[in-house]
Order: sequence, then structure tokens, then C-alpha cells
Amino acid sequence: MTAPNGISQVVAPKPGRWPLFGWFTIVFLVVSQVVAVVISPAERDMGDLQKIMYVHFPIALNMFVCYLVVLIGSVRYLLKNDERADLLAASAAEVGAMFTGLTLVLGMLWAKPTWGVWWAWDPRLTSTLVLFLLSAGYLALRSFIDDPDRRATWSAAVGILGALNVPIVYMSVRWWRTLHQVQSTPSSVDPLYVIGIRMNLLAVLFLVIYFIRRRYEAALTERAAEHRLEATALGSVGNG
Amino acid sequence: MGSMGTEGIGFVVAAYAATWIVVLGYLWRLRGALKRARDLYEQAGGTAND
Repeated sequence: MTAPNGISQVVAPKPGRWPLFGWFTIVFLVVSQVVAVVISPAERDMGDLQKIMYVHFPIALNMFVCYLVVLIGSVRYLLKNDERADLLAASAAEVGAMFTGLTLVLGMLWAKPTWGVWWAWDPRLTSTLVLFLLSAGYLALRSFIDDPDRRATWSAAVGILGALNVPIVYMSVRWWRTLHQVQSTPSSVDPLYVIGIRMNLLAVLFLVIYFIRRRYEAALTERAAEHRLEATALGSVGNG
Repeated sequence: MGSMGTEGIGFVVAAYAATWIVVLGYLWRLRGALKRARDLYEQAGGTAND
């Protein structure tokens, strides 16, 4: 895509200090998990199973951040026709799909020993599955459409639809009768568990930011290369 | 619900293993995507300092 002045909007970004941030994030995630697992005592009813909370909950909550970025990127693309916004939304959708899939798997690992089943067609689980299928559909759609403008427009529509599902996922435990517990608050959880949860929430947030930024960097670099190749080919035709 | 004691430890290990498989797997995928994009950019005549 080319801006009205004929100059490509897409420029290959530099990695800057992002690789360093990545290393920091991985170390912080390891430390957060170790601290959370070591300092938290076995829960009265669930025993050691409670320790799944330190991965399931932070990943589930931070997947919403991905869909917020998808929403912002998609709306911006539709309003401004900015290709970078489309690439940002696509990067966030990929990370969001991965985190939603992982949330479902971790939820199943929690459900089997506590509920006795791997899966139940409970509103929270079902709406999360719908979110996962929408994000997978978004990624499939992008691979099917070759024309960048059409791909970005259709992706933005699906991206907005997916993001609109997020409040339904979040509120499902309050709107309907569910097996899944309602949201806890720091006041309803023992402080020994709160520290671990907060550290892991922050670590996974950093991970989401890092993943989206680096995926966006790869997508921008690829598009910048494609623009250069197109410009070179057009130049050759013009000169030939 | 009665106490589960350490019965669920296998599920806990599986949850952390699944998390790290996904995290490290995606880091590997990102590394490949960045390398491919940079190679393509250099093929197109760009340099890392552009």
C-alpha cells in the first residue's frame, strides 16, 4: 500500500532494545513462577492444584490485551486505511489465538481433577472456545486472501467481531449460571496467593507486549521488503 | 469437595510444561519469522540500517 504522496507507509523497524526486554521478560517469568509456587501453601480444598492458577489466570487475563490491540488496529485501519494498523492487529491476533488456545488447555487441566470432566459446555468455556475459533478464523482468512486491501478490510471486520466477544467471555460467569468460578478480588484471596498472582500477571503482560512487538516488527519488515521489490519491478518496467 | 493433597501434582506439572512449550515454541517461531523477514528485506536491497 502506498500513501497519497507515493511514499510507502511501511518502513522496516529496528529491533532497538527489544531483544534485551525479551530476555528480561523470560527471567522475570521464571522468577515469578518460582516465587509463586514456593511461597504459596497448598490450598485447603484444591491442594497443589491451586498452583495452576499462576499460569491459567495471568494468561487468560492477558489474552484480553491481545484482543484490545486487535480492536484498536482494526478500527484504525478502517478509519485511516493505515497498513501498519492492519499488521499490528494481525500480530496481536496471532498472539491472542495462541494465548486463548493455551487458556483452554490450562482450563481443561484444572477442570479434570476439580470438576471430574475435561470439558463442559459451560458459558465461560464455550464463549472462550468461540473466541479461539474467531481468532483462528481471522488467521485463516488472512492466508486465503491475496489482495492486501481486501485482506485488511475483511480481517478488520472479523477482528472487531472477535474483540466484541471479549466482554461476553469476561462477564459470562456473572450473566449465566456456570461451573466456572466468578472473578476473585485481592480482598477475597489470601495475601500469600496475591503476590504470586500479581507477579505472574505482570510477567505475562510483558510477554504479550514482547510477542506482539516482535511479530509486528517481522510483519513490517516483510511488507517493507515487498514494497521495495514492487517498486523495483515497476521501475524496471518503466525503464524498459 | 475434599482436599486433593498432592494428587493433582501431575496436572500442575502438565500445566507448567504446556505453558513453557508454547512460550518457547513461539519464541522459536518469532526468531524464524524475523530472520526470514530480514533476509527478504536484504534481498530487496534494504540494509539493517535503513
